Amino acid sequence: MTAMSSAGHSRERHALLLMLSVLAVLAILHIQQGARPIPATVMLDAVLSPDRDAFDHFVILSLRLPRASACIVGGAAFGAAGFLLQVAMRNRLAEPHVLGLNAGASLAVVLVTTYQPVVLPDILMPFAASLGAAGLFGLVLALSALGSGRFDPVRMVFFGIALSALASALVSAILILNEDTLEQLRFWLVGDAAGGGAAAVWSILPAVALGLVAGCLLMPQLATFSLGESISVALGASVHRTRIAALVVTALLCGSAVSLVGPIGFVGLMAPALWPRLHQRPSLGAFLLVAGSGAAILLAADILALGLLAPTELPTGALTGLAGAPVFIWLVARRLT
Amino acid sequence: MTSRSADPPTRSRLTAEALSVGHGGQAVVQDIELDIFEGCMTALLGPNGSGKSTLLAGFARLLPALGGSVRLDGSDLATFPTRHVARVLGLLPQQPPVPEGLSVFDLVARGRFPHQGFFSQWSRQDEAAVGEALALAALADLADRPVETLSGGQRQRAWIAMVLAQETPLLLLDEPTTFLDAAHQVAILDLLRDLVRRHRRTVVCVLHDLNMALQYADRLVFLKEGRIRHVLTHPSQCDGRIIEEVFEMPVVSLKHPQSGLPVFLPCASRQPEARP
Amino acid sequence: MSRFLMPPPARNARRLALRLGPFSTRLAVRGLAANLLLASYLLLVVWLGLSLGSRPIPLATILAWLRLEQVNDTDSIILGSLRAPRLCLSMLSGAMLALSGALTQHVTRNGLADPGLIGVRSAAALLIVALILAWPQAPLALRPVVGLAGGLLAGLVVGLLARGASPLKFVMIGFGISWCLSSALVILLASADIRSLQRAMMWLAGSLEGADWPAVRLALVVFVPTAIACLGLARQAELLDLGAATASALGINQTRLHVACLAIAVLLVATSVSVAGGLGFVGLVAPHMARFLPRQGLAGRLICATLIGALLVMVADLAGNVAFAPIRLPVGISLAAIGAPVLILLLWLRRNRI
Repeated sequence: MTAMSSAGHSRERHALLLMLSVLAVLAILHIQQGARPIPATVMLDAVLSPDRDAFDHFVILSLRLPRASACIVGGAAFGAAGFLLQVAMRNRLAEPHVLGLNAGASLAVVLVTTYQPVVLPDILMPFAASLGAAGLFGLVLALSALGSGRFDPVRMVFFGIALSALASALVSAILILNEDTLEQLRFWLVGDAAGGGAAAVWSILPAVALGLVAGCLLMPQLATFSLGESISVALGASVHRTRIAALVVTALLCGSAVSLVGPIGFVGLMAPALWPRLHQRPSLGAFLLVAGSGAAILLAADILALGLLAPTELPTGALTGLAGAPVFIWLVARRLT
Repeated sequence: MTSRSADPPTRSRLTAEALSVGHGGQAVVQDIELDIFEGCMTALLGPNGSGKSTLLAGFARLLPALGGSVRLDGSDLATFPTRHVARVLGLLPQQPPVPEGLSVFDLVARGRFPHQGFFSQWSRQDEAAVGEALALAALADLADRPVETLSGGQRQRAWIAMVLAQETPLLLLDEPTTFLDAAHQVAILDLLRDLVRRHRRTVVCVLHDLNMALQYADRLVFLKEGRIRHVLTHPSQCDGRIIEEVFEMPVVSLKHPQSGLPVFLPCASRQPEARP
Repeated sequence: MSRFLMPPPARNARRLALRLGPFSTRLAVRGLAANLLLASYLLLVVWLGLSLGSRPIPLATILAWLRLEQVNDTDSIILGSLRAPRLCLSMLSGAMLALSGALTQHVTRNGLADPGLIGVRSAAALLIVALILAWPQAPLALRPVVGLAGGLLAGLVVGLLARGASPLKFVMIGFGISWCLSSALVILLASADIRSLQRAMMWLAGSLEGADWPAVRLALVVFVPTAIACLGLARQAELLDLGAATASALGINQTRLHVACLAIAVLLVATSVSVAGGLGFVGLVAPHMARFLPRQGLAGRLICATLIGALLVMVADLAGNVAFAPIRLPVGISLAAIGAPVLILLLWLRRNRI
C-alpha cells in the first residue's frame, strides 16, 4: 500500500502506516471481545492452522472474524464513499447518510428482499442497493439544483434529509406489512455488523473492490477539482464526466456497504474529518487514508457496541450517530465564521 | 416656500443630557447635549459613521443610554412604560423591510398597535387615524395594493403613513429620503414640513443630502466622530467653514435663488482633466 | 390544481370592521371564509373517522351516540373507547404540532424552523422514554413536564449554537442535535429490558394505538390555554414582520415576546410527543400550506395552520387504517409518506423565499 503513495509524500506515508497499525490493533481488540475470553496465541493459531474441532477456533473463524472483516470492509467503503462525495461535490457536509444514499440503498434492499422481482444471487445484492442509493441521490441532486441551477450545499442536505425520511417511512411501511421481511432484516436495519457471516462478506467484496479501484483511478482527476472548477477545466479535466463517475462510484461503495452492515451513518463524515487539510490536497494517498480510517472508525464503534453494555449488544449505527452528529454540527458551525 | 416660523421654539420635548449611546457597551456617540424643540424639524447631519443613526436610536430608546440620559418632557425616558413611549415617539427606521403580502392599508393599520387593546382591536378612532394617515401621504388610492408591488418612493410614503397613524407628537426618521430620486425626496420632505407646520408635529430626521436639509429643516445638528460639532438654530447660519470642517471637503457656497438659503457644492478638482 | 401550483399572488385582504360596545376587531373576510371551510372539512373527516373501519357505523348511529342516546353496545364501545379518543388525539396532536410550527416559523422568521424537526422532539422523546423505562408506573401527566424540560434544553442548545446563522444553517445544526439525540435514544432502547421496551416502542412509533381519554384530556388541558395565549400574542407577534426597530417603536418588548412564543411552541411539541409519539412533518408543512390560502392577520394564519395540521394527522391516520386493512400503519409512517412529498413540493414552489 505504501508503494502506491508516491515517494515524495513522506508525511502521507507515515499517516498511512500509523493508520494501518491502529487498524491492526483495533482488529485484534475486536476479535478478542466477547463472552468467551480467548488468548491471543489461540487467535493466531486459529488463523494460521485452523482446527475445525476446536471450539475457540470455531468461534473465531465463523463468528468473530467475519464480523471484524464486515466492519473493515463496510467501514472502508463508507469512508471512501464519503470522501469521494465531498471532493466531487466540493462540499464538506456531503455524507452518504445525510444525502439520502443510505436510505435509498435500504429501500432497494428491502424492496428486493420483500417482493423478489427477480431472484438475485447474493453477489448482485450490493449492485441493487447501489442502484437504490444512486436513484434517491439523483432525486436529491435534481431537487436541490432545480431552484437555483447549481448545487447549493446546504439545500442539498435539506432535501437529502427530507427524501431520507420519505424512504425510511416507505421501508417501515413495507416491513410492517410483511412480517417475514421484518424478521429477516430487523437487526440489519439499525446498522448491525453481526449479520450474514463470512459468506456475506465474500459476496460484497467484489463490489467494494471494484469501487475502491475505480475511486483510486478517479482520484488524480478529482484532485484538480480542489483548485476550483474553472482551473480544473483549464487543466483539461472533464469536470462533468468526472463528477458523474465519482458519484456512480460513491453509490456503488455506499450500496455495497449498506447491504453488508446496514445503513450506518456518519462514518464518511468522520473519517475525512480526522485528518486536517485533507480536502485541500485530495490525492490517492488521502483516499486510501480515509478508507482505512473509515474501517478503523467502524471497528472501534463495533467494539464499543459489543462491549459497552455487555452482554447487551448495542446497534453500531447508533454509536456512529452519537459520535458523528457532533462532527456534523462542528462542520456546520465552523462554516458560520 | 420661505415662510419659516418666526416665533422662537417654545418648549423642549426631548432632551439629551450628557448622553452616550452605542452597541455592545462601546459608545458610538458621547456627551451629547441636545434639545429637540416642539413644532420644529430638526435635521441630524454628518459624514458616514458620525453617529447620526445611533443618536436617533438612543432617542427612540432602541439602544440604552450608556451614560447620561434622554428626557422626555423632563422625565427620564428609561422610566416610561413601553406602550406610553410608543404613543409619544414614532420611529421610521433606515430601510425598513418589505413585509411579504401585506397591503398598504394593513401596514398603516399596524401603526395603531399602541392605541389598541385585546378588546378594542379596531375602534373608530383607529379607522379614522389610518384614513387620515393615508390621505396625508397621498396613498388613499393605493390602500389595497400589496406593499411589495409599490415603487421605492411609494413604499417609503407607506412607511411614513404607518408612523403617522401612530399619532405621536414626536417623529424620528432615519434617512427617509435615501435611495429616492430628487422628485421623490422633495415629495417626502414636503410632507414632513407639512406635518410640522400644519399639524404641529415635532420631527427629527437623519438626512444625507445636505442641500435638501438646508432647504427644509428648521434646526441643523452637525455630528462628527460621535460628538456634536455645531447646532444651528436657522439654516441661514450655515457657512462653508462649518461644512468644510465637518465633512472635510472643500466647498463653494451659493445662495438658493428662491429661498435665499445657502447651498453648497463640492469644489471642482484643481486640475480638471481635458474632456475627450 | 394549477391555481394551487402557482405561487400565490398577494391578494389584498378585504376586511370587515366588527364593533360591539367596547369590543372591536377587524376581520379578513376571505381568510375567515377559508378558515370556516377548513373547519367544515374537519367535521367531514371527523364523520369519516368515526364511521369508517372494520365495522362501518352509519351517520344516524353516530349522531345518536353524540346526543348520548341509547345505541347498541358494540357500536357504543367502538365509538366511545376506540374511535373517538383516537380521533380526538390525532386532531389535537396535529393541531398542537402545526400551531407550534407556525409560531416558530413566524417568530424566528425562518420558513424551515420546526421545533419538531430540530431536536426538540428528539429531546422530549429521549427524556420521556427514559421516564417510561425508569419508572413505568409514572403518571401520564408527568410525561409532558419531562418532555418540556428536554425540549427546552434542546431548543436552548440549538439557539446558542446557531446564533446569527442563516435559516438553513440554523436548521442544519438542529438536525445535527436531532441525530445525536435519536442515536442516544436507540442506545437507551437497546439497553432496556424487554417488557418496558415494548411500552416505549409502541409510544415511540408515533402510533395512536394506545389512544384513550386520559391522554385526550391531558392534550386538551395543554392545548386550550396555549392556543388562547397564542391568539393573544399574535397581535404583538405580527408586528415582528416590520423589523425589530419598528416593532420596538410600536411598543413591543421583543425579548419577552420571543421567549413567550418559543416556550409555548416547545410546550406544544412536548405535549404532542408525550401523548402521540413522534409525528414528523406536520409542523413544517401545515404553515406553508396555510400560506396558499387568502391573506389574513397572524391570528387567522395561526388558526388556519392549526386546522390544516389537525386535518393532516387525521387524514393520515385514516389513510393508514384503511389503505392496507386489516393491517394498520402507524400514523407516523403514513404521515411521512404524505408529508415528505408535500414538503418537497412546497419548498420547491417557495424556493426563492426561504
